[in-house]
Amino acid sequence: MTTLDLPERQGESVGAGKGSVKRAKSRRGGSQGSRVAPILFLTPFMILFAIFFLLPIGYAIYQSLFHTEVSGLGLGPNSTVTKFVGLSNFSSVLSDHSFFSGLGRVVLFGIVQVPTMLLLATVLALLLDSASTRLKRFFRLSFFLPYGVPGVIAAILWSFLYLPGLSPIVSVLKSVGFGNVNFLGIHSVLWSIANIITWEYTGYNMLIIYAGLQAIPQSLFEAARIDGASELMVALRIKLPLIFSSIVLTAVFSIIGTLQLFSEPQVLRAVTTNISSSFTPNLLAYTKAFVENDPNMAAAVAVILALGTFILSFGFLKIVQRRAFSEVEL
Amino acid sequence: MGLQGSISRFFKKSGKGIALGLSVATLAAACGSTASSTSSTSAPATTAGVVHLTFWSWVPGLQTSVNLWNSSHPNIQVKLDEVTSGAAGTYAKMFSALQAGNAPDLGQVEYPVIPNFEHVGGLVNLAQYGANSYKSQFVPWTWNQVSQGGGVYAIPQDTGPMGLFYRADLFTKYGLTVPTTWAEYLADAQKIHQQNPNAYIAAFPASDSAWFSALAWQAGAKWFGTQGNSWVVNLADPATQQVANLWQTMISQGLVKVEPDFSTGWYKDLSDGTILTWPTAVWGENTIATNAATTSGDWRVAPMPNWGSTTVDGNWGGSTTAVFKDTKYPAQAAQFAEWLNTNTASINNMIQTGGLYPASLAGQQLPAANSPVAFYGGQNIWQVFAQGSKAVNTSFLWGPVMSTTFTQLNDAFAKATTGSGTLTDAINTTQSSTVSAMKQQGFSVVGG
Repeated sequence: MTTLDLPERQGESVGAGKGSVKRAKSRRGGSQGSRVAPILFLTPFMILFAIFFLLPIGYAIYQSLFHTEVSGLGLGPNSTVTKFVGLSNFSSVLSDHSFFSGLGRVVLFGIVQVPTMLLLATVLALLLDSASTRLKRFFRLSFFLPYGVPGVIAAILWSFLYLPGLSPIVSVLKSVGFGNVNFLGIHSVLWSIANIITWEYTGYNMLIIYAGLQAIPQSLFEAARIDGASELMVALRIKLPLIFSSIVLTAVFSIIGTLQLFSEPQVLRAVTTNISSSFTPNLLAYTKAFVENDPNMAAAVAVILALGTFILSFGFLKIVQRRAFSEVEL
Repeated sequence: MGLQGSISRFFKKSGKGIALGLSVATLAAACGSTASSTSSTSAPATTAGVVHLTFWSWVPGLQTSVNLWNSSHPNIQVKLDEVTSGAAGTYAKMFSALQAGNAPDLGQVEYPVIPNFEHVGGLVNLAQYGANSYKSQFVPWTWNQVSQGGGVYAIPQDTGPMGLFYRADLFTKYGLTVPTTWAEYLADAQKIHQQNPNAYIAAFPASDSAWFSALAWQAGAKWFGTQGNSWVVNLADPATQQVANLWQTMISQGLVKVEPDFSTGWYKDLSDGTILTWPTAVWGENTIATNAATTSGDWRVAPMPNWGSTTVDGNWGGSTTAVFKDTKYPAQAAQFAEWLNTNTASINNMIQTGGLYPASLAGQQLPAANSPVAFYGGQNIWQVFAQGSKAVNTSFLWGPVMSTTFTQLNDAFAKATTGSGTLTDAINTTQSSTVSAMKQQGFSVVGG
């Protein structure tokens, strides 16, 4: 939520600075009721936020501090005790090399897939912005359509396109002379997943960027054309800098999504043995919780992952923030 | 049909994905706030002396058996909750419910998971309710797996004795004889591959170590045991090494196709003659008939190839009925569990609508589980399994963290089949990782 608000707030505070000071003064003289009103309006949100956000997070953190310990054979009612162990679950996750190989995998995935997807989304948005009105609707819908397919269904769909013997792609590649292309091999499977994600989310990201393009005042383009700028120049020199904040937004979403990669690899596990039970950090958490029946360890993985996501997405924002928003506020 | 089967398999698997989304709900269940409020917490409505029991099971058509019980036992009424299969989320739900103190009275539990439920103290010892008097009615190995010390923790329901499903038509085409030993199996594998490089004797499902455990079981492995107050773990014993070596040889020579079982590609390979055999449990009968329907009449079943001159079999799958600790009526629940798995009408229903192969010796002789099958060219395949069932090695036991062990073995096999290491390395790795996982949880382990 906060990441979403950032660009808006920054823009607003500059323009509305003076006005808000005045308003604040006049409010001070208001009745008791006006002070209660904002609280009343916020209550439904705060309650839901607490129940569905703070409470589960708090419970996960609480769970991550416990460990179920067995003694002897572990048989019988008194052989198992759950006790407080402080941060020891965290230290065992952090010393687990399968956690780091999973993390390394999604980071590598993100470094390659996120820029590729965003580049594609930006190019598509720019093309759409300059296309004729009738085709615009058609393309906007067709680019966005894959996002309407649930992730699990998309993964099932693609798994059929990857499976040798069933896939038309594999057989076409073979008949053209590429030999037996294995989309589900130990090294290729990660990029096959990247392809699914790109297919799914490019249209969605394109739409955000496209919305950014729509917000640019037409007068800027007219002025540029009068100055003799070509369409390409308009795209590169005017549109691109002005939609930079939209691109940053989509990048943050994509980084978060990448670190939480789960359903696509989980679905593809049914067709290939090359996706291990700790392929991504989220898959590791799932394995700990629902296969190994160790919810405490799973909670620790989830908390570490959440912290990592937080640091990475805010770190990214910090790096690009100055550039992104100084351009916007020109 | 094949496609449909694989799609439903997909959905089953993807159901796990959805489970993560519901983890908040599961956590809430652990708090004891939601979930099984329908079970024992609200159950004690003992109006006019009628006892109400709740039973979680995923066996198709089990309601018919439950109805039979309810009509003949008006004072003990059982309510069946149809749940998803254990590994697809029901075990997780059972463990959470046990922790919260509101588990159902009875539940479906597969053999490898029994020790896991025992070690959280979740099961009622049925020996105190006369369970031991039923011992002789069941296949011997099943009783060993449900009992621990003097206690009986579940009543056996069904089993999965192994047999060799093979394509009789293609065996004739390639001029092969049905292997009776694993050495002959290897020789057949080589003959097939010499004649057709695109045909394989079998698939090696690296991600299905439960299948491998059945083969190791047959070879005489003893993965887990107890010694005093400690577990003995021996995943890499000579019998297991022997099995690993055979399959490693076939993988290295390209005689088997490494691919996941129950996957779309695998069904296709079963249908089009890419794969000629499947050493599997009795329930594989239905898997082939549904997913390779076009091969009707081509398959036959032979006893498993053996390692030596004595006939030994392994087992893959099967489950039990267990009574959970939270029940208020353990005696009545035990009575139902015993009836469900020994009553002829109930067993007959489970065979016919549930597709189970009973653990009851008498049940195995019922016509439903002892008649020719048209899909297998009119062969009475059940006789192979009835024989196999009697020959299943009785000393094999499961460990207390089997789901972890299977996961570790799957991951290690996947690594081995993609070129880093061998299957033997994989079982050695799993031996040490299982022992360390057990020690980390506080189990006392020797021989690690």
